[in-house]
Amino acid sequence: MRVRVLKETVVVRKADYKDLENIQNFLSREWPLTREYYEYYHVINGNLMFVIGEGESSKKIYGVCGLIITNREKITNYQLALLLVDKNNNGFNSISLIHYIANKLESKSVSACGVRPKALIIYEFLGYKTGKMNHFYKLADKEHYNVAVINEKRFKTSQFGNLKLKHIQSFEELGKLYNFDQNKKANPYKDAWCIKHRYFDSVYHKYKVYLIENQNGANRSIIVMREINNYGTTICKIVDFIGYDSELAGIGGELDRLMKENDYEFMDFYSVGIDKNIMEQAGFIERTPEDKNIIPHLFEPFIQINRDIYYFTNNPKDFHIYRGDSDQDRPVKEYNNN
Amino acid sequence: MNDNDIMSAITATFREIFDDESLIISEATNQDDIEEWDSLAQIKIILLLEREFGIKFDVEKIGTLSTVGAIFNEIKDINKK
Repeated sequence: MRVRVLKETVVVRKADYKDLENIQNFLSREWPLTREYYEYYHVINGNLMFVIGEGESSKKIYGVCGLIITNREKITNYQLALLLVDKNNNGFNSISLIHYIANKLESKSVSACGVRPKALIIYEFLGYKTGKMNHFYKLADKEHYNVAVINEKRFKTSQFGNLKLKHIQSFEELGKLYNFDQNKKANPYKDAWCIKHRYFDSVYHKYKVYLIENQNGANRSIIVMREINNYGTTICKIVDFIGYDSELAGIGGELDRLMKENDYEFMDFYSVGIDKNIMEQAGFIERTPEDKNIIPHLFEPFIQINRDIYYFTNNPKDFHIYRGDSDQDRPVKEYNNN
Repeated sequence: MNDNDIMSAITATFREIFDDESLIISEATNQDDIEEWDSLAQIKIILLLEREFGIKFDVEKIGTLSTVGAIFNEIKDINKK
């Protein structure tokens, strides 16, 4: 039996910008991402948003975890991504990183979606809430589907409310019509910077941002979608919703209009926190394990299977999370193969 | 519960987690000796031992329990409290 004698202390700390190359190299065996990717997702005002575990004497990286913030408040909401730890005998593991983030970095919440199912036990052990995201979809009535596999055509009639969707062309236009502070109590809170960065300044995807105008003419909610045009068809993924859940129930008719106008094969929505009744009123069907249809999630590369997405949060009260959160809508094709 | 009882329970736990009834461990056994002993396996070991002994490990110490001996000593320490 080999008894390891040499051990070193692993120091967990927030990364500096100068650590970026080492972090990129460390993660490259699992996720060969470009420098541009890190700059977009994990560098805020010159600060690299990562926590690392580093050998005190060797300076070897033993593990890293990326942080994505949803607002620029002093005490923010963190979403985790790119968590990777090398097996070692120094008393350092993924719990060391998560525990540091949750307990040493002041935050309103720590959460993530896209957690590997077998890793859920780590978060459960730490006392966090875990689960599977709900997946809802709305099908177009077509004879043939190019992307989805439809063995049973399922439709739900939308409740036609008098709420309207207004397509917003620029962040400046959104700023004139929408008060970002009204959702400050949301968990997590997405501020103006976050919405601009994710959905107007994305270097990877083109998003469609809509304001929901209610019957009083007030703009209280935002819904964000991404079209995917491929395989001779167009589908639409709802990636974010910011505002009052109940307003979703009244936009079914408007979503049906968008489906027709844009000839979407289907529209789908991964979410946590939105009541199923609200989604049903908006004309969505929940994809359950018994569902005979396949509504693909991955397009880069395209994989024609149903995909469950798992999440965790250390602050489950009124918690919401969507596909646009963490790095779930990341551009997989941007992986650097060098 | 004496030292032998604790060691027997740890051995049974390791055999269950690593699905190897012939696995032999000692206090010197560490994470290098068992390839599958990663952070996920560590959590499973801890959860089973918590159930077995009716104890609660300190989350901050979990990472440092990288040898069977360290786990053994921690269980004894918790039982003394």
